[in-house]
Amino acid sequence: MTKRAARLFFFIATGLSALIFTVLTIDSHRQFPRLTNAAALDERVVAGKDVWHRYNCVNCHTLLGEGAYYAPDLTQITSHRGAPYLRQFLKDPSKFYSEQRDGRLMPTLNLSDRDIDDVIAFLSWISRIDTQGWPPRPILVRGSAVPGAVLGAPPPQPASGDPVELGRAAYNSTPPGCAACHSIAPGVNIVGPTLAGISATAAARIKNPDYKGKAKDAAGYIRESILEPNAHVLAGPTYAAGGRSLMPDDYGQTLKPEQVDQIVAYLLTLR
Amino acid sequence: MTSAGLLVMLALGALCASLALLMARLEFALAADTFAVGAGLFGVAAFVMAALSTVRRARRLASQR
Repeated sequence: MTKRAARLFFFIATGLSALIFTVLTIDSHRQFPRLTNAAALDERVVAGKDVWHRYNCVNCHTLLGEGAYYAPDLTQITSHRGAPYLRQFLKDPSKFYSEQRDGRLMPTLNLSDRDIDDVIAFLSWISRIDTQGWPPRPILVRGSAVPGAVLGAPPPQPASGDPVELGRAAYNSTPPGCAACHSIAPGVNIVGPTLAGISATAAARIKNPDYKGKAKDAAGYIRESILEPNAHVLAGPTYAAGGRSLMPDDYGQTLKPEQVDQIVAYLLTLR
Repeated sequence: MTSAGLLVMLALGALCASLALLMARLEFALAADTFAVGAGLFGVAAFVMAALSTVRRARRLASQR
């Protein structure tokens, strides 16, 4: 190749590269509003961001992988824990964790109810940003890393169409993030009660005179607990507050009916 | 010839890098990876070519003194 031809090739290839870079940059900017869920940015979200900065949350926590690594990443915290739980947690973290037992150092910030609602709105908006899988290995809330859980990732597709296997996959995925709060090991209560032996527990619970729900059998009780967590509220330091369950109450909207069936089928197999 | 080769290497490296990004955007993972590896190889080749050229020139200048 002559020097003139090489120079010509260099200019054409570089120009083509620059053109591709420019088009891709413009294309990326066009997608930002959709990826960042910009339409949902309202004054509550902005106020929540102010609360986030005012209390220097980023000095310990990360969002979208940015921040300090002393405390869990909160990018998906609203889908892992749900707003009712977060509301109670932010009012008084010491009720949920013991510094001696859990090594928790989350301070009690004395946030107002308005601040708490705003910061949850902000975190909820953050959780709906399409990060396209970033961070690749989310830092989970301590105690939520149940063996086999794949929180923060789409549910794996089991080879078989067995409802129990599909339910197991859904249980260990986010959403719904069941494994973030419920262990399946006997006696291990993370945030919600353990679901070990839930089939027998549910059958006994619906026979209890204190039961307030409408379920007639164990499967119905589990289904009711998922879709209407306030139908029968269990007392427990991290289970309920003010007579309301801290379990997210929107699974009726976020889960497909067949997913609920599969999770129920899986939970019924737990001994 | 060295400078012509260097120009071609650099141009191919830039072209491969931008095509890797384009393939990634179009979700052709294998093509994107291939172009990315190609861009890396062309970049290394351009670096080695420039380094060799510099060493040769230095030796030539030293022998002329």
